[in-house]
Amino acid sequence: MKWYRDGDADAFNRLYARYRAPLYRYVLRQCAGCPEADELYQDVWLRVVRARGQWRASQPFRPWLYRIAHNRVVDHWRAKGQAHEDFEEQEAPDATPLQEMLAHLRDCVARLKELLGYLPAAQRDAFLLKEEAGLTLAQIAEVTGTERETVKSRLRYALKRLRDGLEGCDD
Amino acid sequence: MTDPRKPEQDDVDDLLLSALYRQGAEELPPPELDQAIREQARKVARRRRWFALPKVALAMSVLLGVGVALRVFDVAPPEQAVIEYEMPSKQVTKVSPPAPAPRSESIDRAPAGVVPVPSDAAKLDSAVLGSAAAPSPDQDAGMPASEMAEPPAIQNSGQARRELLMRERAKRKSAQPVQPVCHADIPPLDAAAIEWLRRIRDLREAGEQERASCLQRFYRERFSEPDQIKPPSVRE
Repeated sequence: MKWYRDGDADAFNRLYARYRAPLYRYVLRQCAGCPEADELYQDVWLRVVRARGQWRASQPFRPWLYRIAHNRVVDHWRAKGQAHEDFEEQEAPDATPLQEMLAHLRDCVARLKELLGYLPAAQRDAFLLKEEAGLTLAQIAEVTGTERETVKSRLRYALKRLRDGLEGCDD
Repeated sequence: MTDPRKPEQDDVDDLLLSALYRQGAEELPPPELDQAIREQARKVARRRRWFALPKVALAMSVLLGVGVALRVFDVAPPEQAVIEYEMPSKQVTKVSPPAPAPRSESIDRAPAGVVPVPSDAAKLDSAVLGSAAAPSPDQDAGMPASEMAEPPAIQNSGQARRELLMRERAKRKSAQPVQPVCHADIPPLDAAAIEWLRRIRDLREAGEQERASCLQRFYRERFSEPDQIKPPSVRE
């Protein structure tokens, strides 16, 4: 990132190659298959390009990148008239109807993806930042602007809901 | 289902879920999207590189311009300094400001502690404006210090004085130079030294000593070593 910030255009290609897949999936899952996913993803990278002068070599790039992505996703939800935090208050779908609804899915992977879409946004965000971005609890807290304990709590709830929905897949 | 290596994250780590998730995490951005993003990033990086060049050029131009401007304004002495220089000695020392211009004539010709003699310009000034503008030292002797520090005539007619001085200087510059007395006797440029000497001798013999001396002065300016080529008959 430092090289790109200093004008090396090829440095961006190396950076992009490393983060394109996990970031794309992060945006895609956050958007839950919405048609704007590609647009959001592109916009995240353009924001990175524009904000390259603000990046400091002392801070790790990955949390910085995902903070931009997180903010962009939150902006997206706000623009759609639904606050990101609203989802946290939402009750998770009941396990039994969810299992019935997902019964037709062929495998647990597909069911997991489906379940992710049903998670409250904040929990899904925490889960994806952990799984896709590989961030620690502290880094997730920094990216999302919350406390570490809040992140831990969200992750606990997310895992519980996913486990409940994936009953029968743990053998 | 938990990772024993990270005790602090025990309850938020689930290996099965992670494995399941990674198995299904295979979506990639479309190639055209990759291309568009890379292209955009390259454009911005290139633009940034060229963007720095005009900034550097502008900075250099400003630096050069300021340098030239300082030089131009520094060559001419400040008005205050001109007035000081053209005033009689006592007034110069009392009116001079604490920070004089380094290249002003008042500094070059009248160092600290030395009383400058009124120049031609000052004489001309007194001739044009009378004694109020350039009082004589005799007048200064009886004048109180407070009055000498701020002569009312200078304060009231400072602008007029400057204009008159500038006009007189321009007149002097444009005036024809005074012809020397031997102007008509000066031989043409291609004349040999002997021709000059002959004319000098003729003038001396004719009793025109002033014209002869004048011509001899020009002769010395014209020829570097006149004694070597001077014939014995005209050698002094």
